[in-house]
Amino acid sequence: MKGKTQLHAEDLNQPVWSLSLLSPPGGTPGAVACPHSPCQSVYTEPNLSSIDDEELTVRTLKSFVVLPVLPLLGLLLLGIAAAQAHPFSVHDMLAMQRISSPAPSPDGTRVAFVLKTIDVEGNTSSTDLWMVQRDGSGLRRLTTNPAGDFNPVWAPDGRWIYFLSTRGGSSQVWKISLQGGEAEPVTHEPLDLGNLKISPDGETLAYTMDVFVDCPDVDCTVQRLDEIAHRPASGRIYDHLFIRHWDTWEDGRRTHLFARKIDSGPSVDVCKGLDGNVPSRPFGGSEEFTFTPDSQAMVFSMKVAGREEAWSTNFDLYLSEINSSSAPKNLTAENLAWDTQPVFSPDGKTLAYLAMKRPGYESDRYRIVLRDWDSATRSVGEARWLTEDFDRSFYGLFFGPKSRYIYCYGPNLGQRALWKVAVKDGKHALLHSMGIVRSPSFAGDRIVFGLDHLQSPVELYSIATSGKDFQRITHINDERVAAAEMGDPEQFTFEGAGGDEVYCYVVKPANFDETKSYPVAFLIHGGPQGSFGNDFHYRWNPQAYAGAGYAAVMVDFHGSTGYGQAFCDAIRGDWGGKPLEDLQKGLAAAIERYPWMNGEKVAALGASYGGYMINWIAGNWPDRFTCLVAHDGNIDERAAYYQTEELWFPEWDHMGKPWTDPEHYEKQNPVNFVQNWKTPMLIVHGGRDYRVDLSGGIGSFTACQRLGIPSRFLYFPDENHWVQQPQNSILWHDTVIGWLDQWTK
Amino acid sequence: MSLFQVPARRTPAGLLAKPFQDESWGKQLSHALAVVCGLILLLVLTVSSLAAAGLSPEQVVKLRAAGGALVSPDGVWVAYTLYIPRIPFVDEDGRSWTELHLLDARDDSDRVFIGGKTNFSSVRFTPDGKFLSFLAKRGNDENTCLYLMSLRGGEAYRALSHETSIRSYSFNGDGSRIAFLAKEKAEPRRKELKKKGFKQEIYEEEMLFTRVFVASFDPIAGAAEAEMLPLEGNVSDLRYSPVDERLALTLAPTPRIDDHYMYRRVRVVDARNGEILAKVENPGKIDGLEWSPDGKRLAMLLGDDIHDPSPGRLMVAEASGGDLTDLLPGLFDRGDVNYFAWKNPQTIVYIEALGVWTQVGEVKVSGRSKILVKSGGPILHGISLSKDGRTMVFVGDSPSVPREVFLMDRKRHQPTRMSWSNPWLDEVDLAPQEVVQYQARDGQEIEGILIHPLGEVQGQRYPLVLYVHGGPESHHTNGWSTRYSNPGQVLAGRGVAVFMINYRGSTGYGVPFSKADHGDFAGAEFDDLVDGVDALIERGFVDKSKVGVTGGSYGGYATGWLCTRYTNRFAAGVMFVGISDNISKFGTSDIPEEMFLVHHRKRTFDDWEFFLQRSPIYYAGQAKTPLLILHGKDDPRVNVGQSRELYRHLKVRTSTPVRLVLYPGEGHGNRKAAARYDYNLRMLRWFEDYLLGGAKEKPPIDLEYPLEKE
Repeated sequence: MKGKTQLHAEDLNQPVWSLSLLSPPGGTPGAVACPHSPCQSVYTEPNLSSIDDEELTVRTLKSFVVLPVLPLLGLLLLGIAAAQAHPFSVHDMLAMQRISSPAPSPDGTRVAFVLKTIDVEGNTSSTDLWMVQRDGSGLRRLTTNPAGDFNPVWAPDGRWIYFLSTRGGSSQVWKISLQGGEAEPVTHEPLDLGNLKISPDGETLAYTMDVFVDCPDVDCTVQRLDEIAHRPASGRIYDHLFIRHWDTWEDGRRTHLFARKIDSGPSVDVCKGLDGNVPSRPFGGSEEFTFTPDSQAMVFSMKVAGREEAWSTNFDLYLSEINSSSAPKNLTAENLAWDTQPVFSPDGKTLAYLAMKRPGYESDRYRIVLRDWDSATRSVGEARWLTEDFDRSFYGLFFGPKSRYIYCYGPNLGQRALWKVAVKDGKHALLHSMGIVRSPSFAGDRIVFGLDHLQSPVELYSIATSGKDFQRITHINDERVAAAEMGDPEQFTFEGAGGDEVYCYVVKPANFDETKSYPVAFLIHGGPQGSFGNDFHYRWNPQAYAGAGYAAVMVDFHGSTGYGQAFCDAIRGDWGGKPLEDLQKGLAAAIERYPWMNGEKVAALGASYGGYMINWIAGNWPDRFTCLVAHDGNIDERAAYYQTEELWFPEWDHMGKPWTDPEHYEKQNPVNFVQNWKTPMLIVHGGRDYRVDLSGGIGSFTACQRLGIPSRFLYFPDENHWVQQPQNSILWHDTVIGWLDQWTK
Repeated sequence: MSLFQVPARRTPAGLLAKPFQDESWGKQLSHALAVVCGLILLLVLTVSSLAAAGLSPEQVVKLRAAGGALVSPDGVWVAYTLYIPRIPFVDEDGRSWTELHLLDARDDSDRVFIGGKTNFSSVRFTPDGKFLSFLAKRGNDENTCLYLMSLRGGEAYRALSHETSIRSYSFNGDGSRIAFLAKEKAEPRRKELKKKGFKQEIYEEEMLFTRVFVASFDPIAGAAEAEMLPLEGNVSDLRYSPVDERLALTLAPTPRIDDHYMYRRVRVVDARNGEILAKVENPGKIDGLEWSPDGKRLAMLLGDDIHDPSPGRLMVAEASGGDLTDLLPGLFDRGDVNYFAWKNPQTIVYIEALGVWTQVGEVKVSGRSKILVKSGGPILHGISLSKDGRTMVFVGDSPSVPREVFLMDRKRHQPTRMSWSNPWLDEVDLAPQEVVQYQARDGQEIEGILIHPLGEVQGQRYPLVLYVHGGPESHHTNGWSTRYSNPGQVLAGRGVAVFMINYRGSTGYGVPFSKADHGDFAGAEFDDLVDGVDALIERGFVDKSKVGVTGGSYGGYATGWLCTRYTNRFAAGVMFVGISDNISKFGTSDIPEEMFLVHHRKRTFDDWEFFLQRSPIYYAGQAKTPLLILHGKDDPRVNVGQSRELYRHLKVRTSTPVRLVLYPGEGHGNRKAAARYDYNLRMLRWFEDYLLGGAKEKPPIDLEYPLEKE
């Protein structure tokens, strides 16, 4: 199911999590923006999108029925290494080095970033800080410690980089000189730190720690944890939800934001006793808080909902003076929907942030909101909804150096695009719309960002503020990309449910020969408010199927993001309706369009909502596929409501609670159609998946076994909603592709 | 014997200076004034009260000292290592940590380049001057590896690893090739057997030879697969030719330490196949081997012959082999060369030890020499030269300053202090230090260093402790000497004079002097010590009833000797890792040949009686001097049995107070923080009790550690 299509989930390598999860925990930095479900994006040739077009690219792209999707660079590289290339497999996927957290230097000449390397043999990964000149020269590694080094932030004078590292045994702030020398410790807190930021004046650090809110200081939290650890009885008592979230059982602590003078002094709890988390769990990062321009206060996004935490999405922005005991002030109390990602304009006059309008709906459209900031009175003016007329939802935003434009990025027709919006009048221009833009920010007079697409993992690029002069900075994975034969992607549209235009990506088999006939892997994304687009995914990578000799077909059905809010909203109350129709029509359209696809040999796969859809297909489209793969999917929507953690999600999507609106749950419920099941099914589930409870996977397997349907259950005791450990990823791919080969080849 | 010697001379050697401004002098003068003013107060303080003044043992614990210093080829950067002692009760026990500092010679700024609690060794600049390289075992390393670190920023990264630890390395002229030394890998089966309990050790036969490996090298990509050169023997002193594919090295018949000391011989080999291209038949000991920048010559420090106890002759040979030329024959009977570096193909810069002083000189291969830095300044160790030879870097110390970095260049015409590693030391009252000369009973001129008692009053007699150096091939200099085993400034602060004598056999005075004890161990050499005490007594300065003695290794031997043979003269002794029985010593030391060749000059089994009579145990029966004996249990050089024997003799044959303190996990000298601190406190208490207090009973076995309460 959907786990918030969260902002900056790509920067997940900041541990909100504990050390027990190996170095920098988190998902895959540099991977995926739709955390819990396969969501990818598309790709269009850079020159196809009219860069200065004030109109939505949707229109520009509409005229193209088929978009050839071979990135030029990829082509060149493939050409270079075609001789010794081998078909892409999970091993190539794991070999890619993952770039994340690009941090341009204050003068814009250099970019520090995090590079994650997977150690397959050791079944672990490590992250280090690297540095490159903005022009791509001078690539070098800054940190080499085997422990995790991540979350780089620059001192304003550009002489030091502060970062988080687990090298001392816990996650603490360290600093490294840009003039040479090894890293030095800065903090020695008794708890793990996460989410590092530095104040504009360079004198204060902000970071987060998990503390008991009623504790007067951090030591009290440490003592209480110690007491708990030594209790002979292991039982825990809860009086309200959440009891567990994502993959972690709640221990009563909250993630709070702390500030500290760099050189010394105690950490000050900026959240001052508020009963909530900053950043939000489980995917929020340092984009959810910021310093005021004078460095004296912080603005952060927090949901203070008491016992309603599990069904409220009412995040608000709070202003908290660091050196004052006064309570944080709620700046967005009037908006009962989600408010987050505060940023101040460089001129210090404006507070901008992202806000939704519909309470209880996590996939509502994030608009950009502006408020005048009066530093003297510490107050904000009236809200100005800047992008009300621009039908796109944003993952993040940042100001241009002159405070005249806000730059923002978000899903767009299978890509994740970058736009700029005039502060004056809200007029917007598309700057870049090829591949998935990640963590963009200003480096001098240019914008630097990570970019990946279906044929390349994330590399760093820069672009002028006009959207022109697109330049590549890094070539970290060139050799590995060249060594793996990948399939060529293409995007097309078809007429789906209700006559709406629906987008679909196809990735051709590796070493494609159009005179041959190929089986099809039909990949269904999760969310459902997500997308399988033009990205290089580290769990649902269509190249893994292309490399195994399949054509990958991915339909962005109703409910997908990047196609306007109405398209996204259309899935509400209709999980098994329009999406299924889109999938049926999309598959037919693909097979019609590509005669080399063998329509008799099609396997369907999906995780999360995609797993639900597999269960739904098993009972409602049982004659189409040679086999199915259901990963972390619900079989019983009614039961799932009682088992999952974030209740706002089913309550919105199924338009009520199971006892108030049972018909909505039953209408969409796969469990009511089990009698029709007959397709061989592989079921995969993670034991620490608290979003879609393990009982979902067990239920599907039980159904198959009792019905005598060929079936197999792959259980990962220590994986959550995603399979992330390298060896488990290999087992996953071997098992899934083995299952496909058994039934589909 | 070689542990208590002047520090290893591994550092590239150095140059020039004007008389070093010793800060301690001004301080001493003002202190003298204060002393006069406070005379009444001083009269109240009896000498026997060890009022805490001067340097405390807790301050000795935290003394930092520069290890070695290197200048970058362009003369801009100075990299130096700094030893950071662990603090007992704060840090986990162990040896000192090392920091790497980088000094900018342009603005004198000093910053920590590698900090934290870590260790590494063999720091170099790469030939292009862009990286620092060093050896370390970090992170998940199984063995010691080669690391590189950019001067432009970024942490160290592993550039070369091997199946065994890398022991040393050398780059070729442009840094595109690297040669390194590593031991053979032990048979894996042996390791497995050990796990099953088969832990037997076969004495001296389980030798793993050190071999040469050569690989192409790139600072970013690291080293390629290394190839071993087929050389017979154990390899040391590896140096890649700066101009071609030749290696200079030394070969010893076996890895045994005795062979290492006595039988390393210089060879020039082809780096591509190990073929021996030239031989230099150095007659005995060797230390330091360097190519001339044009690859035509080799310079080295050698023993004059097989009986010369120390390699102090600066010799040059053609790299094609052939005769050795002593570049400084005039130094033969005056001093020794300790360090050198090539300045250009014709010129070598060197540091010579001249008695208690050092000088920096420059000598052409033709033999013409001149002194660049005269004696009288800081005691200098190690030389590093920039490529143009105009910037010279040393580490140096003075009576009031432990080792720091000194630099000479176009701006600085004398060795100029660049580092301040113990700023707090400036606030500590230190006692004055004096160079003393006297004649031994046979007329031999002897020199020593006297640390006066702090707040000395003219005409008053003071207790005295002799601190005797080891070796005996080493010597005291007029620099900083106080450390855990040397009570120097700590005792001086408590009103005790400390005297350090360069008895015959010491280095620093040329070959004849260093051989003057041959065949006469514990004879005239230790009589020199007694004569030194007498000389001070004659000066009316020493209370002859309150003379103590301490020292380690050969200095421990002296201590044992003076406390038995000359027991009437000494009121207390503290003996560390010393010899007590020259007969059993022969069979239990790892350097019997070295002892025979450069000291004893006769065999135990040819003259049992002589060896017996030159042993402290022989005179133990008459000993009245309370003796504290301390020894590391894992000492390979002087077996711990030496201390046990003397202890047993004294226990059985006398009622003289004696105590034996053993340190598990320590060898020939304590290296870990707790054992050093404990040693220092026990030594001080012994002198306090028996030298100053005239104690009747032994102190309790346990100690109070002031650091425990901090």
